[in-house]
Amino acid sequence: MSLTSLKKSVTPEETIAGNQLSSAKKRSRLIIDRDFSKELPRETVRSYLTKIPLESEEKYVNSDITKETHIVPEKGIEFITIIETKPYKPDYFLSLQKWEGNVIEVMKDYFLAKLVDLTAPGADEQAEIPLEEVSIEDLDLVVPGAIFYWNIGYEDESNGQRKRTSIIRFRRLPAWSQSEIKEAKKEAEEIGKSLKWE
Amino acid sequence: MYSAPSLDEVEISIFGPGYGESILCHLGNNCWIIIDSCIDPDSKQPYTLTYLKNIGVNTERSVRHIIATHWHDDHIRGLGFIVEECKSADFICSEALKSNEFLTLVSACGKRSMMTSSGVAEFYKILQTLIGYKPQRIPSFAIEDRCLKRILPENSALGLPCEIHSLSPSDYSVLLTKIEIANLIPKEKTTKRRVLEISPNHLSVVLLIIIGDLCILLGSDLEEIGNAQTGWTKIVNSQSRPIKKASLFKIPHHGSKNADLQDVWTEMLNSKPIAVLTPFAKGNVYLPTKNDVTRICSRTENAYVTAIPRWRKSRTRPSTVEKTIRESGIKIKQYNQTLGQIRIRTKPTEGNNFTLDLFGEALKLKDVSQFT
Repeated sequence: MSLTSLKKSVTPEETIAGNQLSSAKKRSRLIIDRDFSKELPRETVRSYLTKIPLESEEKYVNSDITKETHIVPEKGIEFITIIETKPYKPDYFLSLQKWEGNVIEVMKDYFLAKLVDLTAPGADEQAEIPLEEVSIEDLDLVVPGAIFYWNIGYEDESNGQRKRTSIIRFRRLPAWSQSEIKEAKKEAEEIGKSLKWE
Repeated sequence: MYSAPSLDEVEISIFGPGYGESILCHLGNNCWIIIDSCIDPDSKQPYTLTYLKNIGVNTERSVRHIIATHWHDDHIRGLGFIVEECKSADFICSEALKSNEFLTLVSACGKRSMMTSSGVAEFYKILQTLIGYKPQRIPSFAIEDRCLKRILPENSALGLPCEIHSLSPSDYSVLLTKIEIANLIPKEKTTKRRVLEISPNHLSVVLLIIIGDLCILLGSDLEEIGNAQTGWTKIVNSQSRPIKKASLFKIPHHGSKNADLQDVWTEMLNSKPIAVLTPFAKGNVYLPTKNDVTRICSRTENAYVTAIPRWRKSRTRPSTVEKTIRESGIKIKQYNQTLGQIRIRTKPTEGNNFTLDLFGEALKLKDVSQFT
């Protein structure tokens, strides 16, 4: 959409007009004198502009503005603010390889982990992973028995950039609750009775 | 490779890829025992079941006993499936697991599996399978000097008495393990984690199989810490165990020094027995080590290993993944999963002459050094 067509599309209903609102008109013109069509979809521009409680240019021209409660005074124009942002596009992660791992042993600079390939299951693997690969907030979780996921893939950012990424995320498993332990004990009793385990 | 033993033939097959161990035993007359389990990464099936099916054995009818010597990952993977498949088999495990604490641990951590594969999750599956049968398959428990199975000569196709004895765990080991297991039970408000393995391994079930004059000692993963009440010292000094000496020995705990006791070789084995072991790799531990190989080979020239104890280079992945792994400084190794099988067959009625076949990566232990 060209600048001209945008102007056309927002005029007269969606522009501030009328002699009585000349300064407002001036400001609104100032705003739409940019080709936002390249930055924002038409519907978005329209939605911003139609927030102004004006119905038509003609109405404003012919009406007594002092009696029109819905007419926006000059300061009301302030909320015709077009935020110059890109349309929201969430980050997207394309996983190429995923493992589930558990920590076997923690050394000074690295930890040893057993890996189970979740992408192409096969023989188990073992990895020596530098601690610097773990995010600071996850470092406390690196203890023997801790479970983590390791993902390699492409991260498509909202700005359109694509990054190759390796992410290690430790599972923040919830703490054992009283009810879970109670439930396990109850189940154990039932198994014990069924199988004459005790 | 895929020929069944004759009805009067005894077979012991030891399967051991680089990580995992399983043993099959044919007592004659199409009666099979499966001891522990490991998985073929290609078929995702337990090696033992694949082998039995390949030689035409009806696993549902012919597998009579399934024994779990302990619940470590490398010995138990796929055992739940075996219990499910082998419907007429009874299930035997260590007396040290016979406690409410163990069941609580399995119910808590096995049910809410913390990871794709874990020993407790496998055990939970076993228990659920056993409960699911009507009538339920009630398990048996192995402890020191217990006769688990006795077949009288008149009921044996071989015409020979057949006995399966458990030589461990000792009473003291059972007590120790129960305390350790109680400590593993999750406590309220503690973070959920994968259950760590108990070390040293006191709870393993050592088995002695006697068929006529043939005697087979299966050492499981039982360790030796020099305590007279536990481990191999307790077994050797036992006054109530069968006194027969074995001519076939599955070396305990992958040949490691901490499972070795010279007295076992002198008191419980014939001279120059056939000794078999499976390798192991975890963390920075590789078993058997060069010293282990030297020590074992000095005791018998008939020592074999199911696979070469080594890591393999990790499998090849898409170049983007490989590049990212390289750049992150992470080093990945793969457990050696090449199938290795040592098969020993003999006819006890004809004087116990052994026929030994090596399949896959299996080789003489003395030849290991050229690969490591």
